[in-house]
Amino acid sequence: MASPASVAEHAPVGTPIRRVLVANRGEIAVRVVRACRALGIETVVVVSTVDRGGLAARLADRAVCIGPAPASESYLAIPSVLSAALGTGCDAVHPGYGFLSENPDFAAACVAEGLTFIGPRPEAVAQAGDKARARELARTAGIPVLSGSPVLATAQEAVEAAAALGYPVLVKAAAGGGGRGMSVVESEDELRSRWPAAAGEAQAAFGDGRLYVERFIRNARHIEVQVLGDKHGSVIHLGERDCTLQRRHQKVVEESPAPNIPEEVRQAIRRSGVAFAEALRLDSAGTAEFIYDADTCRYAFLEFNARIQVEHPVSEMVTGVDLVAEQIRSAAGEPLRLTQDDVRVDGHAIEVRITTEDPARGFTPHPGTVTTWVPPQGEGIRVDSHCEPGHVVTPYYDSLLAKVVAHGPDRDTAADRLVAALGRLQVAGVPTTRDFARTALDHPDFRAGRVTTEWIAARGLPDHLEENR
Amino acid sequence: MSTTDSPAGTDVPQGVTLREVQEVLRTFSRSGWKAMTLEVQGLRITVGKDGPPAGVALAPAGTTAVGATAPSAAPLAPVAPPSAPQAPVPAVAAGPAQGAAASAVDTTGCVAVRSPAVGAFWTAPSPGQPPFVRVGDTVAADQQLAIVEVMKLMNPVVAATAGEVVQVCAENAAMVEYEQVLFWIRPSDG
Repeated sequence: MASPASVAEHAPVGTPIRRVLVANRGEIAVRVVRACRALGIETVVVVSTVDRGGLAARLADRAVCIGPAPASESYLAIPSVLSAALGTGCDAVHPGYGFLSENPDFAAACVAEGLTFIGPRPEAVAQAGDKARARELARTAGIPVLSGSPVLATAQEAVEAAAALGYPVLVKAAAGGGGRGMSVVESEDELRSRWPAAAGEAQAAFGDGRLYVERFIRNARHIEVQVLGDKHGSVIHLGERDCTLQRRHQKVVEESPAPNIPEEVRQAIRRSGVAFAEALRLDSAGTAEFIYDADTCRYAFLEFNARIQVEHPVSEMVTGVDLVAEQIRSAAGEPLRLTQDDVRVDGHAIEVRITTEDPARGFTPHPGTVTTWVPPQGEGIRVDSHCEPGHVVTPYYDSLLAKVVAHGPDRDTAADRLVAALGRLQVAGVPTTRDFARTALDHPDFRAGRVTTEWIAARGLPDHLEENR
Repeated sequence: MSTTDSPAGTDVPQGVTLREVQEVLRTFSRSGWKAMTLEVQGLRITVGKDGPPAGVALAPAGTTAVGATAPSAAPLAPVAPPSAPQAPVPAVAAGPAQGAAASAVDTTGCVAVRSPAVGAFWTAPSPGQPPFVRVGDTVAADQQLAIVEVMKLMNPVVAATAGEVVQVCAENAAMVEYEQVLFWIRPSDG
């Protein structure tokens, strides 16, 4: 048997995948196991001590306990994950989202050990993960980029950059992501006082204290393009998603296609997504995120996520493409089976994230035991979840319990189906965001496509709390 | 890429699947054979019922060396008991090494020494050297019993208590999981 390293170096365009290590937990681990099974591929799921009895561990061909509950000692521990992969004879690793999914060192370590990383090339992961580099790549690809500064060394440099942009500005961590490590600053005084703390927070959160500033858009929407590439140079898009409903920069509701935008702008955003993926030489699934100014109908590149996204099911529902399966096929070196002309966006899909958070207490995450769990069924309804009766929500990981997705011939039908499905979802034992999601989906602002990224904080949550007093 | 969707195995599979290996081990454990080496599609499996067969070097990489006395202690998935149905067996066994042999040793009152990490289990400081400890040895608290190697990082396994080594629960070079029982120690009085 050839040494693993030489296999990796000389493999022409990927090698067949027979056994996948799923380096994640929760609903995405379940999702990946199911995709592998459909492809006839075996799975080994890594678990921490508290996830041993979970659904993913039971569905997989094997589970390997790699460490204690804290993620830093299990799901983020690269040597332990690699040991599990090599020790169980896996030939590929699927990182899911979060955890090690966007860690270029992990991607490179997988390749060095002869494992196929089911994601983009390590260099593409690195380039996409550095926001400043990604933005530069977008600029050179002719994609609109939000007016912003380079990485800034001092508060004085930041003040000068912000003055040129005009207040308010957004202070962002160069290494940040997922909405973490950013804050809105309204004035020069606030910027000066905020700067040292922001650098400290970035250092603590990402191990990288570098910051930059960019123009802040008041009525912003979040629109992102799902792209898919292969190792043969092909890139296509699978339409866009609108993920405008957020709180504290965490997405709550996602849908596809984006409502209420001019058709020529929609097409331009999609073309920009493909252009970025081509510039990155993307050979897997990824998402180009854009900010859309609802007042001017202009858009600008935000960042690129070189991994599967939480909200990928809405794109799957409207295009009929299994994105996780396509990731695996691309990683194995197969050419894309679709051309852009084959992609049809059919109807409308909306997803809500059901988390164990208490809207009445500022969405505080709430560990506990799920005593009742009956997911809804019905026409056009899909539920991605690892939850079951008796499931224990631990304080160690994110609070996502399920993603409930509805598909319909049009947006209103999809929204109606989703509201009805949420009414049929039976869950007890922990507080959830179910009822808040119903309020948001039924709200006239949402139905008219008039929400912004600040809508939940400014309108949605206060209205919900008022209704439920 | 699929090896399972062709009916009745009409296609030659690209390689050996985990389930096929499990089936081989199950068949072996039911047979009257003492040892066996099987080489197929670049995978070599060597198993023996009374320890590693004579003349077999346990190569850590590329070769799956399956521990003798307990087929369920193999570095592959825990093998279901022959009579058990395939489906709802949890993939995570509480102690993957506690197969038939484990029940032969009385561990009442013993203290478990568990693996500090997921990795390769080494009973000796380096290949060719005698093991740190053998069954029947008396060990002191904190005495090193083995190594668990995680990507070239050597993690010592130490005795939690002074006493007698009653059982070594994993085979040399096998992959062990975090918290898997590696040794049983009968504490000395006092």
